[in-house]
Amino acid sequence: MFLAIKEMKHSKFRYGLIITVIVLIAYLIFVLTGLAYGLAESNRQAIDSWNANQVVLNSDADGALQQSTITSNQAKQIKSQPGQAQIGQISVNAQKKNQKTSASMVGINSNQFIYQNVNIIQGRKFKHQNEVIVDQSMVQNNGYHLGDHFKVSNNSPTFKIVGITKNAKLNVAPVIYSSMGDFRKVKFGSRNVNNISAVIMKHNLKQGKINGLEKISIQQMIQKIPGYSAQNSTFIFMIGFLLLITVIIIAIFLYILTMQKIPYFAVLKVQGIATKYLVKNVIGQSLLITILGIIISGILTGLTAMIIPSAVPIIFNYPLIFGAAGLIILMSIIGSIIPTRSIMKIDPAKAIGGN
Amino acid sequence: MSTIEMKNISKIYQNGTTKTYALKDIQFKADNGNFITITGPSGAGKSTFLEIIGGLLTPTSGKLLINHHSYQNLNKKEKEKFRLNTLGFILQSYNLLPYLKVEEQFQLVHKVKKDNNVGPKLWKWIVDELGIQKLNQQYPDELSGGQKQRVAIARALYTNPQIILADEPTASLDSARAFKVMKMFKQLAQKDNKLIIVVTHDLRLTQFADQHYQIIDGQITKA
Repeated sequence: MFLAIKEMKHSKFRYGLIITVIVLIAYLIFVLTGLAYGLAESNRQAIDSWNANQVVLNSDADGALQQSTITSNQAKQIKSQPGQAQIGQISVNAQKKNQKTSASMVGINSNQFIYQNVNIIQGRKFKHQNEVIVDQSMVQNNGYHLGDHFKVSNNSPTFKIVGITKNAKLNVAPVIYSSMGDFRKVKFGSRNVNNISAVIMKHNLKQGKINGLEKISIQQMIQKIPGYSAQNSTFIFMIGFLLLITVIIIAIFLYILTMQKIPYFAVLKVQGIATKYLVKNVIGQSLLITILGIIISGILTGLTAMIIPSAVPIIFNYPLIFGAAGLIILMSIIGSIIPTRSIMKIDPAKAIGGN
Repeated sequence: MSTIEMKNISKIYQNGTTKTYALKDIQFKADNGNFITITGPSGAGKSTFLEIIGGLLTPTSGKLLINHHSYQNLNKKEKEKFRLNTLGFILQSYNLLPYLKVEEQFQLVHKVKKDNNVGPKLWKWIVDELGIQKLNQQYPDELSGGQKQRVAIARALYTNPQIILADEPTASLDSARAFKVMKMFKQLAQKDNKLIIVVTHDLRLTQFADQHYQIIDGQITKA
């Protein structure tokens, strides 16, 4: 590392430029990773919070909760077992004064595990008709407060917020937990229609095929959330492409710098300085550039996390960020292999002129 | 037995059906404690001669013994180690690393060879003789050609090599400085029992040598 450090200290501007490029790429990778994770979480948070294994949906819904309706007769076919919770789901616009907020209304039964496990951070769980629990993002981003009243359509009941929960988003919209009766009033216009959307199973259902229904894993249902898979694939592609760009940039920069140093390295080889020592210095230099770039971009990412509005669905998950940083470092090592091959090929005899 | 012994060494470059002899049937012996100069016209094979002794080129035929060992059988890594521990190369193209100060050029050598380098007393003498004692904090681009050449000579001597091979080591030096370097080589050969071989165009330098050879058309003769 002696040569690597000395060269970087001497050519501060040149290496400053390379580090700046790495900083920008690493920053972009970190922000995209945060956005990918944040958006994925916004799609699935509520489902994850139920901590369940399986779901029973109408077989025509093709795994999509939003398109599933289970009639009371169909629901009766599902054998009762511990850890079952019926849910009803509908996308709504919460309306307060002139402000509309897209939300996902989820009807649940107070005697089943989803209701029992809802994590209340303020207020209480609903007990009476027209009482709801809302996700804290409605408080943070949309100006709702405990005790506020709102409607979800002109002819819907007026709901009162009695509790705030956290980590309850579904398909990027905040969840409004209501009683099953209130959900039916909104979706079907009557509390007496006994249809539901799905049955969530904490443990796998010990029952074979059910006519008109299908049981799938929670993960399969998450993959069927509209846009979820496409969005994740897009982010993975972008991050992968940026990692590829990292390899190319490191390889090009180090290759050009190494080519400029070949006459000097030839003389060092004549003097018996091992090729291994020179190769280690080039790889070390690549690592140093990348680690410095990652540290600076890490600081920038931290600052971004502090100032970014809470409405932006970005979550900096440390294991993921460290994973991305590890991949960038791996790419820098791969990028430095090309110039090291040039060093190995240097013929020390070329350092001697004449005949 | 000699320190360096070349037996029937030839080096042929082949281009299609045309064969060119860079060295032809060389017989050469040299012992420690000697300062040898080799002169000859351009293209005569002087540099090829040095490159073969230094293990940078493999002869087409013949045998090279250094310290009684066959040098040709060493692999690339062993040759690197041998050059670092036993040989000191002084080249016409000194190529000091541009991002290392003068003192760091020596520190680099010390990083890769920590033991058996020149002692402080001998080092001080070398630095004084070369007149580079005030250049420690300078970068190569702040030095004149002559200063760079003298730093490169010091860098080659830092490892305290048993054999010193020099290719036009005084090309960038004025006559007075060139003569001083030659005297220093002579003293190093005599007092420190080193074998020094200098290839040069400058016939005036041969006056300092214990032995003087000429290479003409790939053949070596004692002058």
